[in-house]
Amino acid sequence: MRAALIIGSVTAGFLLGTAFGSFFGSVLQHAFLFSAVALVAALVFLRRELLLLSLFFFISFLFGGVRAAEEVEHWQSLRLPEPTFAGTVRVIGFPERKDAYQEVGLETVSCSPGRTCPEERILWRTNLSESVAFGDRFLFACVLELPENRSETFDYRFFLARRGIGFLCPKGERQEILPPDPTGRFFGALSFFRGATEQVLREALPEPEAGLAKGLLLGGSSYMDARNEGFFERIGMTHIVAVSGYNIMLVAELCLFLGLSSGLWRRQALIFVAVGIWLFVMLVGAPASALRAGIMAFGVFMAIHQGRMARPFFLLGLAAAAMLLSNPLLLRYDIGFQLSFLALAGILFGARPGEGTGESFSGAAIREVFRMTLFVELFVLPLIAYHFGLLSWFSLIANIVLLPLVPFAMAGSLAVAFFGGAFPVATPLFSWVAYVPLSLITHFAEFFGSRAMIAFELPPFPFAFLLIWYALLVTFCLARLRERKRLWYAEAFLVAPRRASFGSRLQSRLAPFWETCRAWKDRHRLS
Amino acid sequence: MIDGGRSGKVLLARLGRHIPFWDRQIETLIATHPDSDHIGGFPELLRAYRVLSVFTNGDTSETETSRLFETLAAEETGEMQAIARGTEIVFPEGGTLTLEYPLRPLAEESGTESNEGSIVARFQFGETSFLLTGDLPGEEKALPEERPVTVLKVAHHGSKYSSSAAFLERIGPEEAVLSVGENSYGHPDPGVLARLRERSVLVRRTDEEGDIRYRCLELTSRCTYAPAR
Repeated sequence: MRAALIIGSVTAGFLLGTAFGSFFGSVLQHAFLFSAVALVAALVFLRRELLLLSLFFFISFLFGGVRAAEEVEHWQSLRLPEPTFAGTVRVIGFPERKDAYQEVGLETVSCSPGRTCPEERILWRTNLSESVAFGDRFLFACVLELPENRSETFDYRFFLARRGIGFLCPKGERQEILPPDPTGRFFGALSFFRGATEQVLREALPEPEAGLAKGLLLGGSSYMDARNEGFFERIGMTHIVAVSGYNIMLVAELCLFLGLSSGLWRRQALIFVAVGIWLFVMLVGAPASALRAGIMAFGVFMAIHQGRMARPFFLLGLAAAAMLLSNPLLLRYDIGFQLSFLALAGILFGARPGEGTGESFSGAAIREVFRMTLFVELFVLPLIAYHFGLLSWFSLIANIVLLPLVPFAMAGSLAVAFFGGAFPVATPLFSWVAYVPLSLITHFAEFFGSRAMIAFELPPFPFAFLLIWYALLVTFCLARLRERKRLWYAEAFLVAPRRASFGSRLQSRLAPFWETCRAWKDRHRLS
Repeated sequence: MIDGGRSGKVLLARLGRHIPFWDRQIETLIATHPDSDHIGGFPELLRAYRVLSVFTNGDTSETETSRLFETLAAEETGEMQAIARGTEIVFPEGGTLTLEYPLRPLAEESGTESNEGSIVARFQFGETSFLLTGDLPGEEKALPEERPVTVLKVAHHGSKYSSSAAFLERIGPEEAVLSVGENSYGHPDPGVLARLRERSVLVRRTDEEGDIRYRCLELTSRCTYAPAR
């Protein structure tokens, strides 16, 4: 039996189990149901291979379900260990600056003697003038509060829980700053680098272009003011500031270029790229979309390293499983996680292998872009409508028009950040390069986002509608795949559309580098 | 730049739409008084732009926003300067900004109710004049000799404690600009709006029109209203 099939069934079982456990409580209580399903499966699939696969699926389903249900149960029943906290804490994540305050995630390191130390993280709300950086350690005292849900439509407790935060600290006092340890020094360096990038962009570009540039490079729409953020939401373009596969691919290319030009061998360069990607994911604060892309990119590089072809659907499933293994709450409570995976699934389902290949600007290439964008919209729009009550019919057009500008905006922003930081005198020159595409995007968003009919507000609708939609969509997509001679589901799962996949795009982009690398090495050897 | 609103993000986003992108310098920053809804945007502005000089009425506040503003302003410009009536800022391309109030710089933490020390400035460009009144209450007493004006920036977001009938009668504005957003104070006061209407003053409101812009091009012609977008 192929190892890929076993991994595939384990992954699928785990993902479905986690989904079931997240939404429908403890699967342990329903174990009899699954036992019955397993029995039926065993009777129906008489072939030994399929029976084994079903068993793998079933066990991983139960594991995922139980784990997710226990996690949900843990956070639901969370109580204050003590009304106050005193002890040593470490800053986790980059502080989020709001207009009048900043929010800092804290992890408890140790507690004062005789006190119960909370395992969950604390969200400290403090003044903007307080200088706090990722990785800092200090003695801290505060009055703890449990977060409360103030709206029926927004689960604030689980919004925080997905980041491991169980308690709020609106009034806290930093008593003594402790000297940085190696972890603190590493994250301190990341914070410094991130802060320096933000500052260079802030000084070089006006708003809202600077906010967009920071979002494109470091991730997050919160760099923009609420008005402009609203315009991007209304035209369905907020996703461009979520660090994802595209950003990772650019970073990978940059690292590869730097690695090869500094004389690294091919395998060393791959390791250099993997480290670069990992550092970049940390630099942007490791949001779900960046983690997903980082894991997938790592998978692609491992495949290249081993001389194999990467399989995007397979990698997508593995990335989801790896992330949910670490934090099952992501599936239900992290909208970024949901959108990131759905968007990529849309791209993979929408791609048609072979069509438009090699034609940079042709009818087929435009059709391909249109079809893939359409599929992404079909996958993400219902979820956006469910969570935010907003349906932007214009997003398909906006994506087709604006997405080609994004690489130029990113490259320009990167040039400003890099060269502006290294040679401040040259900043105005690079500002021009970045400003033009950034400004085209923001003005487009402002012009169309401010029109009344561009998006519709929807009343809340039942979750079941969403399930039905995705069931129909996946059925349609699988049928479409089957049409293309992918008769087996397993085969469709494993033999992925190649041209549009992240892995194959990356591989095709890497090809010239390999050639350069080989030529350089040959010359080197000759000389 | 006179006052910066409550939010740095909003201030920078609006500013970015009104000055060329390569212009990264603010020559003069004036904080009419140290209330958060007037200086809240300045810390972000000071981080993003090169600011040459910062002027205040001399009053300070114990709020976090005020402390942050003072720290950053001191880092950027060395020292904030307190100004009062008699100060003039002459624009190289025409126009003069003259301070009308307070009569003298206030002492730090003067104990005066913050709004009462608010800076009032008059901008004269050719025949057109603008009176920028900050949050000053009871202008008819504070500015007993104020001359007629073309455009009045209505004091304190249209509060009932400002823009009395006597004051409006004295300065006779043709147009009034109300800087107002969603608030729980009831700004603008219906009484103020009625007084402006009675005098046939054309009212422009930021909550209805967004940014309000006047274009002053030549000293020989009047400044004209130019819709922002």
